[in-house]
Amino acid sequence: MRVILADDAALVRQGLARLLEDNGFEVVAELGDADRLLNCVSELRPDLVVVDIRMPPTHTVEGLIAAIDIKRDHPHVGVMVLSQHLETRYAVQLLSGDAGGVGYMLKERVADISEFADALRRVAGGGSAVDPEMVSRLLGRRSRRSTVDLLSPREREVLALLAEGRSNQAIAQHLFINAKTVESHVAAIFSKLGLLPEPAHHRRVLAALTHLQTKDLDPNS
Amino acid sequence: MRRLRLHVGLAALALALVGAAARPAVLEGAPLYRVGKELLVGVLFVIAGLAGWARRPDSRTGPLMTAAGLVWLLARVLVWTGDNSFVFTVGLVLVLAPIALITHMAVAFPSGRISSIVERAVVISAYLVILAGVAFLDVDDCAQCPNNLLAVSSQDGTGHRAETAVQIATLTSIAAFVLTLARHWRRGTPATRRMLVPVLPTAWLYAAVSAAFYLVDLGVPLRPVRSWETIEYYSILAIPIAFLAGLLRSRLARADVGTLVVELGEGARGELRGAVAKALRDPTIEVAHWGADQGSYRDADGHAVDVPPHDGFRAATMIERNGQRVGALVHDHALLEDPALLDAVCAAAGLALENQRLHAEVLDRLEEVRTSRARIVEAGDAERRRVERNLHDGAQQRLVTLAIVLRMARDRLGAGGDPSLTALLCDASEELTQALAELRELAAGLHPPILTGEGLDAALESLAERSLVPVEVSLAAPGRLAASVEAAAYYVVSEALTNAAKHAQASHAVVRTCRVGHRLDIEVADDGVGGAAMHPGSGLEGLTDRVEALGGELVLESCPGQGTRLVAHIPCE
Repeated sequence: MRVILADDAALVRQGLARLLEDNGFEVVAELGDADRLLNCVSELRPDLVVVDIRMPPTHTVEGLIAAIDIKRDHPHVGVMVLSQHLETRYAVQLLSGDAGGVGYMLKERVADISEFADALRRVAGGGSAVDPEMVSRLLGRRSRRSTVDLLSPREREVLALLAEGRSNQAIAQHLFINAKTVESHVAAIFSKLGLLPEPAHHRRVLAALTHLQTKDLDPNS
Repeated sequence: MRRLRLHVGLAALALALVGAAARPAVLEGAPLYRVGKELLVGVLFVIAGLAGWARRPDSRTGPLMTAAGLVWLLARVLVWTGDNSFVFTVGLVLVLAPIALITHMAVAFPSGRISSIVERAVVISAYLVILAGVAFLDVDDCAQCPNNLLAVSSQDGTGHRAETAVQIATLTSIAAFVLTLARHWRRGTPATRRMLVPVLPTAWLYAAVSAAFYLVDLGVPLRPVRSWETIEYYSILAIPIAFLAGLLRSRLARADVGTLVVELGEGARGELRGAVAKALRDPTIEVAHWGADQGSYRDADGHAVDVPPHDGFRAATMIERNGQRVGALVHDHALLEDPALLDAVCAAAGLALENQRLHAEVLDRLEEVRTSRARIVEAGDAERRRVERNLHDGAQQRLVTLAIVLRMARDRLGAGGDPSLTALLCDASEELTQALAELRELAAGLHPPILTGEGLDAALESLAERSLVPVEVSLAAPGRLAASVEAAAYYVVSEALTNAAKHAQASHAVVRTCRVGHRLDIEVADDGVGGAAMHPGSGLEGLTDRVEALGGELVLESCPGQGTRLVAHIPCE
């Protein structure tokens, strides 16, 4: 799998490159800023781009903007955005595009390479990956009136994995249950949360995340 | 003291003159009533003159009036007792002299000083026609009576023509006198007019009566002369009273200085001019403060004021405090007649100007303190951003790299490696993950990148999402604001939500922002235990400093058992 790395922190970038190479990825380019990233993608046609959100010149969300541009111009290239901080709005922004194949994770996840590699493959394959910490944060929010309270413990587990961007198959494997069971759980969850069934994978992730994010604003939805 | 002795001496002289005039006249069998009536005029002039002199020593009206009275009395002594023609003639001159002195007094009123050529001409002509009039004075002819040495017979043609000429000259002089007084009134400032009010009608009445005599002499048919003499007597009697009243009218204004001081003390700032104008009864007044920086006098609106003024009707009086020039009063010339009143008002105005200057100074200092406070907060924010950035670019990246290296080491060790070493590496990785999480919290607490990147709404939503207490968010302040305002609002909400979770045991909190004109309102309310207070050194006190540095205010409502409500109002563009 061909990967472009973009991170202004050279040490991390080099370390990550080696780690990915060790784990069967082919790093075709390493960049220290977001400016040349889009051109580089057009040129090298990678399967995947791993980009740090905060890069020169303003050190705010250059990587996120580059990721959205890449998805617009190259919908089939997977983009994984890494960050030291997790902001739900950035995840929602990434997932709101037409195409799937996006990920948003804490940078330190790279150290857990098997999980990280799994997430990267998911993203490259058109799926999505959302940092489990963000999902647990959203799910863990206490609320006076939350539709999430209607879910059974098992359904919540399924919702968490679903929101992290995992497929029904992956959820089934993770929970050691039948894929069919997962499917019925997902249907139940969407019905209980009052969400419409979403055929596209990244759409259902987005629907779950935005529901969890806004549950306090509009508890009747 | 010297003046008092002089006054006593003059009063004694007047008494002596009264005695000298009355005794022989009464002995000679003149009716007491007529003698008294005649001498009363002189006595009244002396009394009024001395009184005016004592109350207004700066004005020459008092001395002039006293002189007129003494001359009047002396004339009676000389005319009634004079046994030779020379003394008698001098007496006759002195009988008419008070008329000229009255003219002089009226024209020069209230200062007693003649200020223009026209006035001088009127006064000199009065003296001249009076002197000339002696020649045609009607004196009872008797054998023993001394002669009027200056007498000119009006029986012959030349004499008659001369008399007519003098009469016409006198009438002209009276007319000039009347017109001069009218001009005086017209040009007079309210303060002058105030003093002229009693003087003018009396002087005019006396002038009119005098004119009537000359008109009758010239053959103009007027009513019987008898009634005119009565009117003349009372009109001349009214003159000293009227002039004294005029002089004292300015004195009455002194009482208003007390009111002025009280008014200024009550803090009617900016109304200084109006209050001073009221106290001095001079609406043209200008109160100028001395701008040492500009080197000029300025009024309350900052416009330059000419000191001294260029229009000849006003004068300037300097206002000083502790020997330092603080301002000037530009006022009616007539007020110079009452330097004591002017001094009192200047002292009051000086106090007020000094107060204004100090007030302005304090405001300047406050503004300086406010801006320096804002700079300190801004510098603190910049430092926080710098440290956050350094953490992000330095420690955090190094620790992530370390995590990668540890992972690679574990991979190298492989499945066949020393299990204890693998366990150690796993422990190290876990510790590292923990360290990274703590560092992440620390960095976010220092300065949230989302605030700089996305603005207040996004940062507050993020804050609400992380809050341990469920938060309802209602944001109505869209768009970006000044970084310092956004930071202050953010820290207000952050501190309030932290307190809600840590101390208030709240189960629910509400965050509201709203923009009202050029003001951002932030409100955080929780349903916790309440009872929060601004302790010195607490986060809330730091917030107060931060909000007030921006010219805003922070209000804490936290009654025990009624939850806590923290509201900040911050001015914004």
